Amino acid sequence: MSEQAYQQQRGGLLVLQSHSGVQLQDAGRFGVAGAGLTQGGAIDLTAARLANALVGNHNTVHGQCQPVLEITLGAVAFRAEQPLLVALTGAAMPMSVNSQPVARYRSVLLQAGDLLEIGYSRAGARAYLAVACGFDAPAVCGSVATVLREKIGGPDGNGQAITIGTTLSCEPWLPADPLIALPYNRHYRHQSIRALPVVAGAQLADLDPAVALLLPKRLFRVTARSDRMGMQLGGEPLPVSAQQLYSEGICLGAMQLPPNGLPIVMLNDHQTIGGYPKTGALTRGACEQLGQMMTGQFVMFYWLDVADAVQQERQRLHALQQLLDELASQWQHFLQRTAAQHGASDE
Amino acid sequence: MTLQQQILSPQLPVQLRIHSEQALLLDFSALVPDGPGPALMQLMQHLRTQLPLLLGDALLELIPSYTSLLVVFDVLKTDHQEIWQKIRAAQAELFRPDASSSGTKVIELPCYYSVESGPDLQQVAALHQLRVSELIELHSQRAYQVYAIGFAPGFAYLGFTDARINTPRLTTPRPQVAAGSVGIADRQTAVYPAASPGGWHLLGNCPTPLFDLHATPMMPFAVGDTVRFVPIERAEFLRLGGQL
Repeated sequence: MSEQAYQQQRGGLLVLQSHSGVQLQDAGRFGVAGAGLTQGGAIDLTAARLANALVGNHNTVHGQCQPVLEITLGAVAFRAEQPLLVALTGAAMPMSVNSQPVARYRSVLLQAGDLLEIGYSRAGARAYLAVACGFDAPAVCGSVATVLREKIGGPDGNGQAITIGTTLSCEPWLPADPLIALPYNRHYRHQSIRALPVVAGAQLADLDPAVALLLPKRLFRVTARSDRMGMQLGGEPLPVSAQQLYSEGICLGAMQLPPNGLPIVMLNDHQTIGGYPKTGALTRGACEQLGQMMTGQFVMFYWLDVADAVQQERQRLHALQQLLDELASQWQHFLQRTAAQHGASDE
Repeated sequence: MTLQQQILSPQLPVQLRIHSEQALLLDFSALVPDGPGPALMQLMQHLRTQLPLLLGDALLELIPSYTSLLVVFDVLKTDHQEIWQKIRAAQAELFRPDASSSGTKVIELPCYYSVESGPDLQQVAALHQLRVSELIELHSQRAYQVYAIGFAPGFAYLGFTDARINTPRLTTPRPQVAAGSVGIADRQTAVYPAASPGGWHLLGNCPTPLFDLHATPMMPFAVGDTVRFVPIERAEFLRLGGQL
């Protein structure tokens, strides 16, 4: 089929199996929290950025990233309506094309009619599916991030998750598979128990001093009431004093201590203001790791000085940028090779 | 000392609280031991226009709420210390008392108080041993400050209500509250900008749309503005597009 014919019959990825945990996400929505709109965006933004970079979508740690599908727990299936270049990163979900297993963390070329299936996660809660040039969706306040409760974002802008029977519009991929992959040591790494840093702050100094002592000594469990708004932890409660607090702005990672003494860590779809006292917040990197944990998994916390936290976050983002740059340069070579081959065959 | 005198004193009466590696909170609560009021909310609105100029593209979010202002920033471009130093250096401009009253608006919202638009009207009046007309008068004669926006897009917390009509929340929240519903809870009142579950007692309905994602600005008011409710009759409510 000629390129022109493709443009006329432009389709994308037909959704055969999906659920409310399959959503279009990007780096999130900023500058509108004052109006009560949450930030949204990929919970594991690192994995989302890498998925994009593997299919040649240029993105940097500084800004927005192309829309990807955030797949929670797995169990999705699609049919390619045109040749597409895709990549899956994040949680370890088995992926197959026409029932043949294919690798994650690498570019995968789909032909028109191919069946793409992604099974239940073996480790990690969220995987990211990127497609070359990104999924088409209208930006709402600068982002396509889906926020179910706000009815904002997603393929149609109205906050719907990815629904069965719809076609996700995206650009066809006509060149060959560039075979770009990330080595195993760059993949999502499962840990059955995680120790995550908390920046001490907010009301910690006003809370019972035992909170600061006990938090790093306790083991908490991820409960089933966790979602994109926040991770509700279970375990032995921390002491809380009844404290009247005017609602105040909430940031990503904020660790709230409600009256039951069990921490709630705010993730990307967190409410913008709240009145529970907070012990401080997990760093953004730690939020990505916590957001990958499944119900029943255990987590511990340790205090991290704010200056060290700033330092660590900068190092983490610089390392990610280097990785994105490496993938971008591999893509550059592929595009140059492709152009050279086309030039040769024309003569 | 008045709020303005305190602001001008050499010791900046604002506490900086660390909220995360990319967020800090400016805490003004020491300024207002009796709770926030119009002067503080006007200062907050002034800061909301000035801080973006001061911090440029390092600033990601500003969330004002009652006695505090949360500042979320890009950790690759700045840090807590630099922001604090910039605020100290610009102290005279940021906390200029005459500037803080400029820019705030008074918004009048029509409200149809009735049982058909506010199902708890009679119950709330009975709770406070008031006639319905007295309840309406007490609710509508006050000028309310916008203290915070949150819970849902465009949901503004307005305060504070006359102590005679302070009302607890419903024991069981309603699964669905109509868009435009005017509710009260504790010392506050609000308009539900969109249909949603809700736990506030409902007194009436405001036919004016209050939140539009695609409009600029998205809302007619901001934190620091003043809101008054103007009682309207049924015919006027319907004429303004109200739904029953």
